[in-house]
Amino acid sequence: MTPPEPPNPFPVTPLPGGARVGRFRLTTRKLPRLTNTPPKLRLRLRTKLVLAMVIAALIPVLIVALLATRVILTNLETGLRDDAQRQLTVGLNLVLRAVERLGDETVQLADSPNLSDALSRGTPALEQWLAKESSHVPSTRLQLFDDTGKLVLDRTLGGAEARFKNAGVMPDDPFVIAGRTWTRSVSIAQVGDQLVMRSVSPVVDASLTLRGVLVLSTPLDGDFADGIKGALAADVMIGGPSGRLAVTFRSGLGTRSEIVAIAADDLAAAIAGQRVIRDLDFATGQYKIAITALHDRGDRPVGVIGVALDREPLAATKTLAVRTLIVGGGGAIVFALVIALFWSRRLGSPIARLHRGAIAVSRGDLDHRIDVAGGDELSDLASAFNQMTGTLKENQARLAARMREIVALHDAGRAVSSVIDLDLVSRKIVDAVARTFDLQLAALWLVEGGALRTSAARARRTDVSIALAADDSLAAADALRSIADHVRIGRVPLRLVRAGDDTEWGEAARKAGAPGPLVALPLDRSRPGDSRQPRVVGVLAVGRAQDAREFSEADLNLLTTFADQAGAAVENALLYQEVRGASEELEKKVRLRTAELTAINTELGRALADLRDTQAQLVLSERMAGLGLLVAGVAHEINSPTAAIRGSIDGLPAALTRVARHGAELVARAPSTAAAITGYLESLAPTLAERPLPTTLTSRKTAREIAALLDAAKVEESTIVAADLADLGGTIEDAQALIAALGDHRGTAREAVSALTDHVYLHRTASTVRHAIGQIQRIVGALKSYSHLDQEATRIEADVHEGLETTLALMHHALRDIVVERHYGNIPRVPVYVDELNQVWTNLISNAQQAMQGKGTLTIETATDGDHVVVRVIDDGPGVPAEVLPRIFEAFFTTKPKGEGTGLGLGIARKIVDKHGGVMRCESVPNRTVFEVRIPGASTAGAEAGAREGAA
Amino acid sequence: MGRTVGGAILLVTVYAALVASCDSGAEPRYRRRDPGALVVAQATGPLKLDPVRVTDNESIEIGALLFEGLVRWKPGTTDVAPGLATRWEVSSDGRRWRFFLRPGVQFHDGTDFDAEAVVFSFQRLLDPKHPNVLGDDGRYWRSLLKSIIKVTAIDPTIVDIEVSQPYAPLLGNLAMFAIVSPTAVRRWGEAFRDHPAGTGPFGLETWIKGEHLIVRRFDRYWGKAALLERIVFRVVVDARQRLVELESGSVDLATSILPDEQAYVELHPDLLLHHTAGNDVSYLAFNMAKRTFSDVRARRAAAHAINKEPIVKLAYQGRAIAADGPLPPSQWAYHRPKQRYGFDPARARQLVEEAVKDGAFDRNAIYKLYAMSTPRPYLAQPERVARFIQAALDQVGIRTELIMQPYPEHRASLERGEHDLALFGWIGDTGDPDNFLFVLFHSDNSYGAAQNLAFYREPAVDKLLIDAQAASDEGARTRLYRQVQVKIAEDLPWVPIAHSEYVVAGRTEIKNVVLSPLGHPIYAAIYRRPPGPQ
Repeated sequence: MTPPEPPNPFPVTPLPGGARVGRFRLTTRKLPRLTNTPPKLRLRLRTKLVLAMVIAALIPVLIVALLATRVILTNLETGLRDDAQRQLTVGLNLVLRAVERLGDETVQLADSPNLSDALSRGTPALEQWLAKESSHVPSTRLQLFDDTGKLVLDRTLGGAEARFKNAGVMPDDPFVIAGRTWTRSVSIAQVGDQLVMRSVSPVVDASLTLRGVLVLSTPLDGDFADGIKGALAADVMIGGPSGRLAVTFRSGLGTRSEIVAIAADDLAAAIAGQRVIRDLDFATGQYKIAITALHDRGDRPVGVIGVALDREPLAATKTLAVRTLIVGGGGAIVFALVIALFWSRRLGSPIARLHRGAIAVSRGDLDHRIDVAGGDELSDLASAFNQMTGTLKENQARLAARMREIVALHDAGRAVSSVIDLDLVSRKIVDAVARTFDLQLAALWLVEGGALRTSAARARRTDVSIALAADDSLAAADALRSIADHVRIGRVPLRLVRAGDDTEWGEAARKAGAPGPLVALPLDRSRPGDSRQPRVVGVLAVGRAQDAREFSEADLNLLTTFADQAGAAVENALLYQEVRGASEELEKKVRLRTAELTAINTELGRALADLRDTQAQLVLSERMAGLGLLVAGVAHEINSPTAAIRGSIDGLPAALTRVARHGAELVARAPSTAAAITGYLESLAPTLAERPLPTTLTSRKTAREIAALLDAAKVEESTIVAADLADLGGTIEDAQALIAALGDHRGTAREAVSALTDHVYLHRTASTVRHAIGQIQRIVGALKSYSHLDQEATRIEADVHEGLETTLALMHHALRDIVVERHYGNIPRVPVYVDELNQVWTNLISNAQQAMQGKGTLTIETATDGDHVVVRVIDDGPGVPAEVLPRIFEAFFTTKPKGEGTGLGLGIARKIVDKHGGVMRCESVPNRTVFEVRIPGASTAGAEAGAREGAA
Repeated sequence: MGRTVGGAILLVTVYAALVASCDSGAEPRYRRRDPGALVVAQATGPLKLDPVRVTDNESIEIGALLFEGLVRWKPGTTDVAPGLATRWEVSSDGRRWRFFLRPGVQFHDGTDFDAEAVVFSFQRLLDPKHPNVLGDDGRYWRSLLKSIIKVTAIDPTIVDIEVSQPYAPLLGNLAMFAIVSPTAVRRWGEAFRDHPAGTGPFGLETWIKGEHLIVRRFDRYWGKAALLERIVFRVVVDARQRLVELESGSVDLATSILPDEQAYVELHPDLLLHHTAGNDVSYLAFNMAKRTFSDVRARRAAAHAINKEPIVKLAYQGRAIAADGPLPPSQWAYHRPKQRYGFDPARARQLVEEAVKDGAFDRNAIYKLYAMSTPRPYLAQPERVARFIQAALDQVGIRTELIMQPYPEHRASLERGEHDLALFGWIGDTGDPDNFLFVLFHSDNSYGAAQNLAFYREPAVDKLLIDAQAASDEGARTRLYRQVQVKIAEDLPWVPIAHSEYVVAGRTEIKNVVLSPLGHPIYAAIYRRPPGPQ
C-alpha cells in the first residue's frame, strides 16, 4: 500500500479566465478526484482494518487448531497403534506360553511313573494310567505310540471331539518319528488351513530305553483364542497361512463372528516377519488390528496371529477433539471480530474526520478544523493538520496582501512612466509608494548638479493619521537628507529596523517624524556590471510609524523594482528636459516623439490594463520590469542621436556666419563669377558631403595632382587650395570644375574652397541630424511595433522573425557586447498575440544576456517541427544548475541577485506560451543553455487552445 | 502492498514452524534408546574386570572386550591369529619366544602400548616382588604360564619370553592373557579391577555393580572399529524376566536361557536362539588306579552300554553333541578316531562275559558310581544322567551303586580316588588342545589335586604330550595330538559323553551374532539391522 501523495499546499494557480487578481485558491491535483469517493474510501479502510485484525486472530487460531488436531489425532492414532503392538506382543506371548505349557504337560505325562510299564502291559493298563493322569491335563488330543510306532492310545481329553478331529497325527508323522529318536519337541503345525500346537515326548524307562511316544495336539482355533482373550484387552485372531482367521468377535447374542479374511499383501508382509497394523472394519465394529506370523520350531512361518482393538473410543475422542477445536476456534473468531469491529470504529472515526478535513481543505475551506481527541498519533496528526490549515490561510492572506502591493506598484509604475514632467513624476512616485506601503513618510530626492534636491515628499502627522501639507512634508524630508546623501554615495539600499533607535541616523529619523522602520534606496541607473560610471539619479526614502511592522525582504524587493522603474522614469524625464533644451526644431521633434512616447505609454498602460484583466497580475510586474529595461534602452538609443544632433547643431551658427562672410567676399571680389561659384558650391557640396572622407595618403596624392592642375591654371595659393580641396574629398574633375567656375578670378580660389568647406560641413551636419532623427524614428517605430500599439490584443497571424528582430532592436543597447547569431529557418506565419510573445522573446533574450553577463554569443534559431514553429534562444553562459532546472519556470523563482529580477519572468513567459497552446522547456549544460519555445501553427493552434480551455 | 503480504506470509510461516516444532517436540518418543547401543541381559554381573584375576564367566566375557593378548583367536574358533604382536619367532631350542609388537597401539587411558607394558603385565603375575603383584588371585594364570622364566623387552617393539622348556601351548594360553596399561595399574593398584584399561575395541564407560555396565567403542582402536557404539550389560537375575524383556525389545541379547525356555524362543517370531559347540566335555571316568576297571574290556563294555543320544536329547534338551573323544570338534587338534564305541548292549555284554571269564572283572561286585548332585555347565541334569548310566550299565551286567554328593564333596572324593566310576567334566581354559589332553591325561596330573581323575598313567601318552608341548610347528603338534587321541580311544580311560552347546537368545534384528568357543558373543562384529518398512 503506497500512501497517497501528500498534497502540496503551495502551488499557486490563477483561476482560469477572468478571475480577479488577488483571489487565489489552494488546490492539489489529486484531492478533487478523491472527493468524489469518500464513502468508498472509508468503507475500504474499515473493512481492511477488520479484515487484518480478523486474519491476525484467525491465522494463529487456524494453525493452532490444525496442528492441535493433528497432534491429538496422531497421538491417539500412535497410541492405538502402540497399544495394538503391545497387545500383539502379549497375545503372541500367551500363544507361545500355551505351546510351552503343552510341552510341559507332555513331558510330565511322558515322565509320569507307570507309563512305560503300562505301555508294556497293554491297553487296559494304559486306560488305567490315563484315568489317573488325565484329570489335570487340559483339553487336548492325546496320542500314544508304542516303541514300534503303533498307535496304542488316542483320546480326546475334555470332550468336544469335533474340535480335535483333525488335530491328530499319524504314526508316520515327523513328530512321532522324532519322538522315537528321543526328541522332545513342541511346535505349531499346519493341519489343512488350521494351526495346531503339538508337543511330543519320548516315553522312556529308567535306562532311557524308548518305550513309546506321547503326542499332545491342540488346535489353535476360535476356542483357543477365546481362552487367551481374557488376558488381553483385545479380540484375538488366529489362523493358518491362507489368512482366514478364527476370531473372538462376538455378536450381541454372544455368537462368534464369521472367520475373517486378511488382505493378501498384509498377510504376505506378516508372513515375511513384519508386524502389520491396519484399520479393519467388520460388521461388528471398527477395529485396529495388528498381525504377525507364527513360526514352527524350524523358524518357518506357519500362520498368523492378530489382535483387534476397538476403534470406537478413538473415533469418539477424535469427534470430541475436533468439536472442541471448532467451537474454540469459532469463539476465537467471533471474539476477534468483535474486537476488530470495536477497534476499527475507534481508529476509523478519527481517520474519517481527518479525511473529511483534508477534503474540506482541498475544496478551499481553510476554516475547517479537525477535532480528534485521544492524545495518540491521530490527534497529533489532527492538530498538525489544523496548524497546517491555519498556516495555509495565513500564507494565503499574506500572499493576497503582497499581490495587492505588487498591483499597486504596477499601477504606480504605469502612472509614473506615463509622465515626463519631472515634478509630476516625483510626486507620483512618492504617492504610489506611500499608498502602497502604508507609510508614515515617503520622500524622493533627485540629483541635480551633483547634489540632492528634495523633489517630492509625503508625510503624515505622527499623532493622527492626517497627511501633512506638501511644504511640511518637504521639511520633514529635508531632515533625512543626510541619509539620502549617504545612500546616493554608497549606491546601496539602507534599511533600518527602528530608525529612531539608530545611533547614526536616529536623530535625523526622529526629526523627520519617521522613527519606525525606514528604507532608503538609490535610483541607480548605472549600467549593470559597470561601476565606473555611477549614475544615481535620485534617492527614495520610505519610513513607517514607530510601531509599524518592519520592511520585509519582499517589501525591499518590491521597493527595489519600483525604484528601478522610478529611476527609469526620472531619467526619462531628465532626458526629456535635456533634449528639449537643445534645439527648438529638434525640441519640437523630440516633443513630438515624446508625445508619441507618451501616447505609446498610454497605449501601453491601456494594454497593460487589458492584460491585467486577462492575466494574473504577475504578468504586469514582469511586463513592467521588461518595459523598464526597454525604456532604459530606448532612452539610451535616443540619447545618442540626440547628442549627435546637439553636437552638429553647436557648429552651425559659426559655419553659417562663415558661409555668409565667404559669400559676401566672393561677391565683392569676383562679382562676375559669384553666381558660377555659388552654382559650383551648390552642386559640389552635397556630393562631397555624401562622399566618404579621404585618407591622409589619398588626400596628399590628390592634393599634389590638383596643385599641379591649379598651377597650370595659374590659380593662386594653389598648394593650400589643392590641400583643402583634397581634404574635402575633391578630385581632379572637381578641381577642373572649380577652375571653370572661377573663370578669370583665379585669385578667389581660396575663398571659394573655404566656402566649399563650410558648405560641405553644413551638408554633413544636416546629414548627421537626419541620420540621428532617422535612428530615433526607427527606435520609436520598433517600440511601437514591440508594443503592438496599432493592433488589437487579438491573435493574429504574424511573422515570428519580425517579433524577434523587434526585440533584438530594442535590446540593441543591452546586447552591444554580445555577438548575435541568427539561424532563421523558413517558418510560416503563425497566429500569436504579438505583444505577449514579444514579451517572451524579451524575457528569454534578457535572461540570456544576464546569464552571459553581457558578453558572449547569443544564438537564435527558428525552425518548423511538424505543425509547430520552434524558437530556440541559446546562450553560452555558465548554464542553469541542475538543481535549479526543474524549478526554473516557477513563479518567484529567481537566481538573479536581488533587484535584478522579480522571479516572475520565466513563469509568465511560460504562461504566455501556454496560452498559445505551445510548450516551453529548458535544457542546460555549461556553455549551452537552450530555451525552446514551440508554438503550434495555424492548423492546430485553435484546436489546442480550445482543448486547454475546456480542460481548465 | 507486496512487501506487506510477503511479511505477513513470512510471519505466518515462522509462527506455523514454531507451533509445528512444539508439535514434533511433543511427539512421543518410542525409540527406547540409542540404536548404536546393544543391550545384553545377564544373570549376574561381572565381579572383577582385571582379566588376570578373573574367575567368573561374565568378567571373562566383558574382559574380552576391554583387553587383548599378544595373540588372539580367529572369531568363532580357537585358531591363533596375530593380536598385539604382529608376528613371532621361536628359537630353535624352543625356549625363547620373540614377539614383534604392533606399533601405534594405545591403551584406553591414552598411554602407548609397548614392550614395557608387556613385561609389566607378565611381571605383576610372575614376580612375587613386583609392587603390583597379583598374589593369590593370580594363581590360576600362574599355573597356566608357569613355564615362563623370564620376560624381557628387547626394544620398545620386541619382547622375548624365555620358557623353562619348549612349550607350544604357550601361544594358545597367551591368546587369553591380557596386556594391561602399566600406568593405570600403578595409578589404581588393587582398584584396577574396577578401572580397567586395556587395548580392546571397547573401553569401560560406566559400571554400577549389580545393576549395569556400559562399554563404549574405543575410537583409537588399532583394528577394525566395532559396529556398535555402546554395549550395555544389564543384570537381570530372573530368567523369565530376561526373556520378557527380550520379547518386549528392551533387551537385545540374553544369556543363561533356561533349557525349558529355549523352545519358546525358537517358536517366537521375533527371537532367535544362537548356539555354538562349547569348549567342554562331560565324561564317565574309570578309576584306573584300582583293579576294578583296569581291564580295557570292562571299560569298553561300559562304553558300548551307554546310549548317548537320549542323554543329549533328554538331559541336554538337544543342546549338546554326543562326544566321541575328549576334544570338542571345534578344537583344531580334534581327530575323530576310528575306534568308536557305539550303543551296542549285546557287544557290551559279550565284552563283560570275556572279562569275567578271564577273571579281570567281577560281575557280582557293586561298583561305586560317583556323581555330583549340583548341575554343572557341562552337565545340567547330573542325577538323571547318572541314573540312566546306572541303568544302562546294569543292562550289560555292570552293577553300580550311585553316590550323589554336592560338587565340592564330589570333587574331593574323586581326588582321593574313592570312586570306581565317576561323572565329571572339563571346561577348556584356553583354545589349546594341551589344555584338554595334557591336563586330563598326563600322568603328572594324576596325583593330588589334579584333573586326571581316571588316574591314567601311560608313558607313551605322556611322551606324546610333552613332545607336542615342545613342538613349535602346528602340523607336528596336530600329528602328535592325533596319536594321543587314538591311544586314548584305545585305552579308554573314560567314556566321553557330550560336548554341551552354549546358547544365547537374541532379537531377530540383531545380526551377525557369532559365539566364541567360550560361549560369548563376539560383540565387535554384531550390528543392528536398520528398522525395515512396517
